Amino acid sequence: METVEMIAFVLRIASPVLALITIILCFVSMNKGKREDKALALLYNETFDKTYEVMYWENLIGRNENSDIVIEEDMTVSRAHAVLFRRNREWFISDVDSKAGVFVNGQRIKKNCRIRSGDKIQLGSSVMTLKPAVQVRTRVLPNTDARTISGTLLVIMTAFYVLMMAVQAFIYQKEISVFMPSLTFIAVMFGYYFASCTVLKRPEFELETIAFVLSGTGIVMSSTYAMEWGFKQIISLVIGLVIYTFLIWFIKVPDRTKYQRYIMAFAALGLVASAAVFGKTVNGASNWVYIGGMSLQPAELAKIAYMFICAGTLDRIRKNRYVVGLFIITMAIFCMLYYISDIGMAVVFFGAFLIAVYLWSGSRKAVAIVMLLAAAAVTVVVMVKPYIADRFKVVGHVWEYAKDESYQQAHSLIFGASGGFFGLGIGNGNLRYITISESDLMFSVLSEEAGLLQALILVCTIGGLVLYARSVTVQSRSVFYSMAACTASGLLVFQTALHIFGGLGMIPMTGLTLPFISYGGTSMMACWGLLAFIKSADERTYYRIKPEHSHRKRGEVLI
Amino acid sequence: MNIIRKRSNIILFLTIVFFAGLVYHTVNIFVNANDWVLNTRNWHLTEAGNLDYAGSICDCKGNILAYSSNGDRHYNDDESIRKACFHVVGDDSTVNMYNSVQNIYRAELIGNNFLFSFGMPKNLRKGKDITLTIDADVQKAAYEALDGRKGAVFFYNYMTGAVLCMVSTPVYDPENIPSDDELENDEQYEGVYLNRVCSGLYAPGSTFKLVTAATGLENIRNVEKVVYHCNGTDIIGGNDINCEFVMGDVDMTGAIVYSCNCYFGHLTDKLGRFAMTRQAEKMGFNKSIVFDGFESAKSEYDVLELDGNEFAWSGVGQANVLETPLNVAVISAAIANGGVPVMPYIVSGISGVDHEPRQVLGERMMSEENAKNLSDMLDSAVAVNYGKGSFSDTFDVCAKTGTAEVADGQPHAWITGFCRNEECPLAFAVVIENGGSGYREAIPVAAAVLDAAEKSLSDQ
Repeated sequence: METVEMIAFVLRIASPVLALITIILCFVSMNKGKREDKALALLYNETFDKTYEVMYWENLIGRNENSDIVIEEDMTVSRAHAVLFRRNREWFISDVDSKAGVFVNGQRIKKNCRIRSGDKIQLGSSVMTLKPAVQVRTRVLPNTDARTISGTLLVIMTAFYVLMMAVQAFIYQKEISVFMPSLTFIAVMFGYYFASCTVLKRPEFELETIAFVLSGTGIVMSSTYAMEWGFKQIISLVIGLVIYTFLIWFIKVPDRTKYQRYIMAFAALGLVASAAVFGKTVNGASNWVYIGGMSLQPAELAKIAYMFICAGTLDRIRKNRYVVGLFIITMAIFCMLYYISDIGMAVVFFGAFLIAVYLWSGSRKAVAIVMLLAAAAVTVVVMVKPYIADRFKVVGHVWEYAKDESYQQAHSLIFGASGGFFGLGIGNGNLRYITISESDLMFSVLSEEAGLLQALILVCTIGGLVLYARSVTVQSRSVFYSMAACTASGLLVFQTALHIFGGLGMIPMTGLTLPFISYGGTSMMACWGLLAFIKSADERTYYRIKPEHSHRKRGEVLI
Repeated sequence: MNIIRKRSNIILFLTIVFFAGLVYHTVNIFVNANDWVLNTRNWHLTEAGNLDYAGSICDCKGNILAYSSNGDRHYNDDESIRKACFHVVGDDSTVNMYNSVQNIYRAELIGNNFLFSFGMPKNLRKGKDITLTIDADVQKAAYEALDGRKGAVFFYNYMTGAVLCMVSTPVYDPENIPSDDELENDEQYEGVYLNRVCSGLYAPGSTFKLVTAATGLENIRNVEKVVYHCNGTDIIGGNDINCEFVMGDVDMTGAIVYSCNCYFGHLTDKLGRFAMTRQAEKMGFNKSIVFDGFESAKSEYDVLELDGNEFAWSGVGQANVLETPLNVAVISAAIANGGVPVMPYIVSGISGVDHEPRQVLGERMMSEENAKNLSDMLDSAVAVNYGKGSFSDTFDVCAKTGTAEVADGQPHAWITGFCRNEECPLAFAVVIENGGSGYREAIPVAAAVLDAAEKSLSDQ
């Protein structure tokens, strides 16, 4: 008996360490694999005899100091004049409502215009030509050789990590069946890894590994509640992987997203509306829809569609009607979420909306106005639905209402602290016996059973996704991907924060899931869907799918 | 691209807030984990046997009161000592006895640290040992002097604050725990988990006259010289106040010595509710006394709703007045110590922790002069009324007995006071539930414990 306890103790200390190493390797590897900061092409201004470096896939040209190519000499150039962007191997220019217009070889352009070698581009009084940068090959291709670690190793480490958790669960629950979901999960992970290497020709697997570490944790946790829950999560994971793979393919052409945006606007509204129409009430919110024996939360999936509405390519985000569209669709979603009483999801959408507003406008004033409107909306909602005020009153008074309103939060603190840094062992906790702890209190369940250290590592990983999304922002193939990745990762962190701090009584509880980890099928699918946008922000993702150098015609000058 | 890069600061900001929240939570756990995990709602604690590898508890002479070996919790070998220390030491559970060392210092005893908390395998835990100021022999003497009656005995050093004896009965033997059925139904175990020193609320009877006298001394100049004629009964507020016998002309000293109800009823009436309440609250009423994690019940003095006669009775510790033995002892300690009580402490050391007991002074209860006056009156009470022979002749004891009438059964027998000998500076309170006369029943208990205490202090 004591030997077994010591084994479990060692595993409890080892599993967060292994998780940490795996995740750090992933982030280090992703960072090293980035392209060096070198010019993709050169723009030579004949009028002023000046050369500008074209650094990005999409470049805003103008006098504004925040432009990617700043033409400060020429007063006839507008503050934001044109967008120079790259699609496949070609460069295009587009006029963004400039006063003086953009001329290519003397013709004023109306739509996107392809730039060929030697074309004269005229902005205001500046006449420019596009030239290749000095070292074509190394500057365009992502840094593939700098990968520090093979995907195979990462997958094996993740498998070990999941097994360590499963062994603990076995020791404490004494049920051999807890291994079944874990082993199935490992099989799914290896399967996807091989598919990713062979069919999708995408050898790098860091971001997926991170998501698999998180999902694996969640699947082991779910299977300690009930084995079939573990399998349900695995089915959701498989669907999530399909959504993930599909989305990466779906958005590979940035210019198509302007049409996809309309489809997705309808999809987002339709999904939320389906909850409003067919929704069944569970735990106060009628956000569940049952289709053929499966229960779904369509509003979760609407988050994916919403990303399309939040993002756009650089030549189009300058136009106001897109912001108006964003605003109208968001308001419609809010109204429906209010109707089905899914307050938690409304808060998440609000977070995404706030991020999107800032990304579109860059105006702090706009953000402040949106927050003021939200505060007013919250006041009205609290007046109409007084039970929501109860959620506010427990903030900072967890122990006073420990018997009723803050029962969950108080027990989160007590049991979360009881686990110490290394936990009591998976399946050995007490918080799991509190209603809906598997979704709403998952962070504290993890702190109790896996230990605070592991819980913190896992949630900090979600925070790390934001840092990663930011670090690849300027290297994305289009602003669309940058914006979508920033919004998606920001949304994941926002939801994580609401989940954790709500569960601990630091803010009102919203009943949101912990991304990837909490029990909840639709949530798992949605998280993988959002991950697709982060993945697509990294230019390497598409470089694998369509290697540029293989189709190059001999003799063609690549700019 | 650059503008998006710049604007993506919003998610960076969000993430920094998120990380800050996590840091806050981690620090919070670091600071508060011991409080949280010892919350009575923690089911991990109520699971049996969590003291199985805990540290030991010793008295001031190194007698081990409780210890763990081979995964079991054991208590002192002597049954009487086990029983006498039952409430101080406590039992395995955290819900039965709030005011016990094994409950209050559980985190230290089981070696709970926030790093591993309950995740530490039990055999790797290093529980801390706790040394108390109590003396097992004095405890035993007190327990035996109570002789199976329900009650409480509290002795502490009014100069340093060290608690020498804290006994509450009834008890059971922690090595032979009675069945749940017995505990629930057998009358001898009624209120067995209540530490009566801290949590027992009794009508204080004549011991409350110290509060009334102090109120008089503090509020009316030369009140101690005013002579009152006692007819054995007086009508205040339209109803009777009675004495045991006709006492004739008494001043305050006489009223204390012979415990004249009429005098104090009259004085209470003259002082008024406001002055009485203010002084009672100065002397520890309507608030908890807290020391080393022990927290007393609030002694109650609430006379605003009473009629005139009941209010007069409140001045002699009847009506709705309730007091804890701890409060009674602290008042005596204040009188002994020139009007300012030194608050008690019971933990003198925790192994591996730099635990220095601090002398905590309570709120001044009366002026030094009035304290001197009161202690002289208590001295006279022993000399004239109870007889110097009540205590061993070496002792210079000042005391006041009480016989508190209760609605049903015998009155509670009380004594409180202090010993003025330099080598034995102890303040004390003894209460015997439904014990009868304070003079006949409580004095012998106090005298017996005092003998044991003097022996203990001379050994130290």
